[in-house]
Amino acid sequence: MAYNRGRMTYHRRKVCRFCADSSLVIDYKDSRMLRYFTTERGKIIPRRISGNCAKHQRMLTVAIKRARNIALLPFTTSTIR
Amino acid sequence: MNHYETLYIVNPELDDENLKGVVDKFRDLIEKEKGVIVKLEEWGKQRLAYLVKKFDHGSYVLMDYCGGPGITAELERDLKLDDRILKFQTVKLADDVEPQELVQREEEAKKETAAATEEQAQEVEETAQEEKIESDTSDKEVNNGI
Repeated sequence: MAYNRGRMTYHRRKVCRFCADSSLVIDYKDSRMLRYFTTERGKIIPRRISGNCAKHQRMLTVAIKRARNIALLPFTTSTIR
Repeated sequence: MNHYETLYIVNPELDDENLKGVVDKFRDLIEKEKGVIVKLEEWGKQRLAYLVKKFDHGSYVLMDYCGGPGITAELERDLKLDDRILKFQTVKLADDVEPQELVQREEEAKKETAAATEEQAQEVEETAQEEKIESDTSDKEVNNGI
């Protein structure tokens, strides 16, 4: 991930990858895809980092929460696994 | 009829026969409630993201079906009572669908994926053969060196 360090400002135009590629479907059963949008601790990556559009971010959060409910994704990984 | 999808986790310690019994039980329940099974998938034993009833693995079963509005209540009550089920989740996919249409579409998709996997298998074979040829030549080089 590109962070802004000090005075160095660097902007990359982020495009929602679900808008760019309509073949990608947001599905709560596809845990490998959803894992890409969560941190190592299992938190959902915010829109300003991932670059998703509002509509797809909303669909994504619902999918991640459903996946958590059925133990496909962790709520948190503070416990040792 | 509405289109629903239920994903449930079965106790991983059950053997294949008992697991099949569980799957059949809930499939029969759907049919008894005048529902139509669209898709029935067994994902096999998978690692759970967190402990559920002290288990760290579970056998996932996905059931895709159509039925009236009361069907999920009936199914979920039975899932809750069955102690072989660790966890379950039902999602409504669509309202007012024609079940036969969905079944037909599912069959077509199945055919397509079968054809695709066949193609992939062929490709893999081809690349494997190529690699074999490459390794043969490299062996020769080594021999020459000695």
